[in-house]
Amino acid sequence: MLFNLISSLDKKLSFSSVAAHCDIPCKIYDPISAQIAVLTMIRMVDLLEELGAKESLTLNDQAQFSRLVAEKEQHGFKVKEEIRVIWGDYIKQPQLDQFPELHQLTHSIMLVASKAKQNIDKDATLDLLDKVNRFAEIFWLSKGLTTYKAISPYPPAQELIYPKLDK
Amino acid sequence: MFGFGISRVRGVSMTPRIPAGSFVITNRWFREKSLSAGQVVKVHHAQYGDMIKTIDHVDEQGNYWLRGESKQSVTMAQIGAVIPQKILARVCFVIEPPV
Repeated sequence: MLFNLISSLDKKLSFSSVAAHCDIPCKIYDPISAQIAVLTMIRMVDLLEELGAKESLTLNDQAQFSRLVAEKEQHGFKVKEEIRVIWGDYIKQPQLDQFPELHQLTHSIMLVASKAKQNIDKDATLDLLDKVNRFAEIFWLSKGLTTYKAISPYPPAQELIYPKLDK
Repeated sequence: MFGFGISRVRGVSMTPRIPAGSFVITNRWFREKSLSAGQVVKVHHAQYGDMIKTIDHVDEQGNYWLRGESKQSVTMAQIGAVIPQKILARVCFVIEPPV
């Protein structure tokens, strides 16, 4: 009962988390971190484009510009890191046999993530989301789970792949 | 309030003492002298971020050496010596998820 109460509070207050870290393969992998990082990049591009539509930028606007670019950069790095970890640690020969596109897909995610980092380019971020979603779909299929598509219930309201989990 | 905080536990390295998904009540108002081997602390680690571990021992220089509770934990050597300033809080209470 106490746990349920704290869980309810956690949903509202989002307590910080602490890692009980393991470096021997703990088998805890989830592409959702990469997917959310791409959504952040898309959102940053949207906000940058809003700034770009202004005739002139105030000092605050200029500060905001720097922050948006920095966040886009940071999340681009995160996408690459999260995908690299799953590719390097989780993907093994059985998954490669089942999904021969994996190496090529992972490499293309690295390239498109760099492109999305280097430019304020909505198309590049959407292309990145397509590829990361495909990676997520393969990841869940390789674990014997089916997936479904849903629009993220927050900006930038793009389609994500989610696993269908039993209750 | 009064230095207390709640954190959610990710990962399995503290099982069975603290199962994954538990919540821990922590207190950052503690006296360094009150820390001893066997106590669980919340620590900020440069590589691993915020994590919880058990104090294994304190060395002659006053640095803390930490360990997990399961074989799957990063090792004491991987964590390295932790200076007292990096210990953020002491874990006072564990709320485990229902079995």
